[in-house]
Amino acid sequence: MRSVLDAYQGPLVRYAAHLTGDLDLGRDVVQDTFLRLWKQKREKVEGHLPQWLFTVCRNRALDVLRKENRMNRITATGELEAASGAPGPAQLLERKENVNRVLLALQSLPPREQEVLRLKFQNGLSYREIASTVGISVSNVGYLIHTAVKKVRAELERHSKPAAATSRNVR
Amino acid sequence: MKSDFQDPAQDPRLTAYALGELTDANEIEAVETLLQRSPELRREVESLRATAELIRFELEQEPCPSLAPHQLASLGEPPRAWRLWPRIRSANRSWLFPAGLATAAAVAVMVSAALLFLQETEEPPLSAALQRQESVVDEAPAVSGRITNQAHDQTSPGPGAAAPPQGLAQTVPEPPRTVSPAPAAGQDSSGYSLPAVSEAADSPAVSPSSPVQSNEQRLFPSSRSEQDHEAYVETARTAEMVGSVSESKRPPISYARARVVEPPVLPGGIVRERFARSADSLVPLSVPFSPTVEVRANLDELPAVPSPVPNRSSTEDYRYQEENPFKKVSRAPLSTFGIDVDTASYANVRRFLRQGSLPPRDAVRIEEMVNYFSYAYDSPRGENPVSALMEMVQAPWKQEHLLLRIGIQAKAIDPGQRPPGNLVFLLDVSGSMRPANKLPLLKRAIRLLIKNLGEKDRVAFVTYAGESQVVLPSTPCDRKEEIFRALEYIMAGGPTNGEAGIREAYATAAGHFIPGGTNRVILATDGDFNLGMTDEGSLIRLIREQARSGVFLSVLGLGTGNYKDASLESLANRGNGNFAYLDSLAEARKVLVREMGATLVTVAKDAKIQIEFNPARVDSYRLIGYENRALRHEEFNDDTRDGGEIGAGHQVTVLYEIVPAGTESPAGRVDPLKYQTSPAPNRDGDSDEWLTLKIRYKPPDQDVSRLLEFTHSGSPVTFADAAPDFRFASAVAAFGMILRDSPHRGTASLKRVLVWTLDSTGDDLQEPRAEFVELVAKAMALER
Repeated sequence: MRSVLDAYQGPLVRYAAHLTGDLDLGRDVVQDTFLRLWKQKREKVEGHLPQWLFTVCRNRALDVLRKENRMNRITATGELEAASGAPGPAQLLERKENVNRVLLALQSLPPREQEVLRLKFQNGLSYREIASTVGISVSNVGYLIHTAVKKVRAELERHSKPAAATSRNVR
Repeated sequence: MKSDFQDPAQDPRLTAYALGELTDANEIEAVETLLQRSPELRREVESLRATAELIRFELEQEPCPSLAPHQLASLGEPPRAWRLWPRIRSANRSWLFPAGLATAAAVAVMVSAALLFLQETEEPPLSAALQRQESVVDEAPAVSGRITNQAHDQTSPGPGAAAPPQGLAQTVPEPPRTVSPAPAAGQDSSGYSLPAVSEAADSPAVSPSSPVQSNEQRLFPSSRSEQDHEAYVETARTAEMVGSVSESKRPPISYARARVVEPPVLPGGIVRERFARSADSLVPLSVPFSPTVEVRANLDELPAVPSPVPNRSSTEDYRYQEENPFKKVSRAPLSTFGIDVDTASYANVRRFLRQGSLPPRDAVRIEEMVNYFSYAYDSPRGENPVSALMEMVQAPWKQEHLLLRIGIQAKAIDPGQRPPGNLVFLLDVSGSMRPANKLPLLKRAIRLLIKNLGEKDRVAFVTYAGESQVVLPSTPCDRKEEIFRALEYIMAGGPTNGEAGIREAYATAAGHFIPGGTNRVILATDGDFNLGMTDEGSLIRLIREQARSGVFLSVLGLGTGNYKDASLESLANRGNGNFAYLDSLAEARKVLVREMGATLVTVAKDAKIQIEFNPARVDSYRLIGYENRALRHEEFNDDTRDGGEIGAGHQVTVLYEIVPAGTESPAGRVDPLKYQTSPAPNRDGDSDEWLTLKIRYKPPDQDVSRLLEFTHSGSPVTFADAAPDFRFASAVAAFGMILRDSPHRGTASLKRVLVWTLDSTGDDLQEPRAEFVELVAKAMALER
């Protein structure tokens, strides 16, 4: 039978791995999250379980990061690439011409925007749930998503011309 | 929050609205008012939605790694309270592509972006996880592509599907590179297993020679279907056991497939999983399995919340329709049919695709899909109510064949010049109309329409359920408040008696008949229409009689699950009316508000088409679609026979696949006749004319038909050189043929359709066309 564990471990691990930048850390965080859940009374969580899980998971992830002093991981990805001369994964990808513009555009977003997009589109949380998970106001969530979606669109538009030209040749 | 918008295009609330996240009724109202006024803003909303969908799509591709076995072991069995979790969230994807208004540029961009990774990625693009941190790469299941349809693996395990039959309890696929999928702790009592991710080439569904396959797989891996399906099975089961899941909370997942095969229910209410699973495991459902979006009140998103009967078979009903075959010109030089301008099938197909299932074959009527879109045709000049354009190109799906497009344009009527309307809404208020995507949606749509009516127009409401009732007698539209108040009081409940209702409605319309005006009964129903009259035939006779009296009938189809497509369409056809399917408020706006001229004002009635092909140039032909409109050749000149109605500004597009003379024909062979010689081309046949098109119609207030004749000559062009409109119409027809699994589809594939569409949209991609592109993409995701 499907349990809450089966239903949520995947998305939570994915989310936590993204936050911590490390799959194993992410798994630890999620394991811990579920251990906490087992101790909760179901009635207390019923009705806002996803929100509870993602909130606890997020807090645990931030705890772990703090503890391990790896806070840079959460913010570093975008800037690191730009800073170092070596081609980052994104550039490598581009070279291989396996261009996925959407993904590239997503990765160029600030971490906070990436995170709300993930909560919204990957995990189906509402603005309200995201607000309470991340600890910001609903209108703040609205602003972040609005900005992020527009940035992604602008990024896609920027690349549209060559894209259209290439696709025409392929039948 | 205030509901004023300084700069709407920059306001985050526009995005919130686009995503269905606006909850304040005043704000929704404010946004919708703005949207009604500004096409640009509508395009902006669509563009935001399209972008959001691309983001969602991309993010959903990211793998969902599960916990490590030792972690699962340490978690042990969940405490009792946590073992069952029925609340599977249905993601609110409803807003994704409402009746498309997307920005030309933006969507063209999306499309090219989508196509880019469709076409260029021989290898699946790496997931975000991979790119984010190289340290992750070694251990993380980072490859998001190459996930084959699990069902293929189940039925014919390929070398890649090497997973043991009993896998981890969690159904999250783990790519083979990273985790050896050994059976582990926490085995699932349902016996579910998910084969390890296998190479795309292992999927028998995709021909190994196709260069597209891995890309398509990459684009739309169905990695989640199993989970979703399991979720569905369990939800259904839980609902039966506990009875605690309310109707509205039930997820709309798997609904369409479940309709086809009803999972047998074993004693004790347990759905037999294997059965249910095989019925649906192919469908990558539109529901990401992370859980629980509330059913929202915003009506614009309602279409995605179908009346949820996932574990019961639906009674949707589509009439079987065989496709037109190729016909030899030497034996059948004439092709005759009534003009059809219905578009309901497209909206219905869209509903299925958005809900994550392929439409049943017979729900796909190609001519209605082609005619859903508008094309650039010249307006008729002079007295004629219609003009005709003809063009011929190489058939994109079969090189040796040609494609003939006939574009008929009816003259438009300036809204100010519109004759006064006498409208009687006949509203089905039976119990089955209660769901939010039926009567409540309808009421909002009617409100929209009435807002646009003026003092010359009259409106009445008649409801029918157990008995019929005139809720609002015919009332002039300058008394809008009164009308709206009456509308508010209309509620659903009770069984259906259509007959009494329709008599009442016609009586009301006749009572306020406007000579020279638009007198029309607008029947809105989910199709449970005939409790009063036992057979469809008597209902049709009634409607025909009424049509002769000058009161026409339009039919609006609503809802899902109980939807009688065939009977509704035939009602409209007999009532000299049109038929539209409303699956969203946006569609309602298109049908009732934007196209009101066409929907309510008929410029030609009983319109029929007859084409005579020149045997010297055409060997065989095939009419694409219009199967249910075929007429006998004699009926063309018979004014007592019904044709189709053409409304103001309407367009009708007809496609023929043509086998030029001298080419081998797919039409069957018949022995030469013994007693007569087959007709041979005469002197006119010597000309370079391909064909003669005849259109017969009656002016709306007359009973004697008139005839228009057009001929077509000249050389066909290659498909690449065809007008963008022509290419687009061909793409739509090809899409229809693919969905119908037509034997005539030739080399057409969803991917090629997508490419044709992109080619044919250019920079001025029209709003609904953008949506079409998205539907093709959705179908790709669903294709077996």
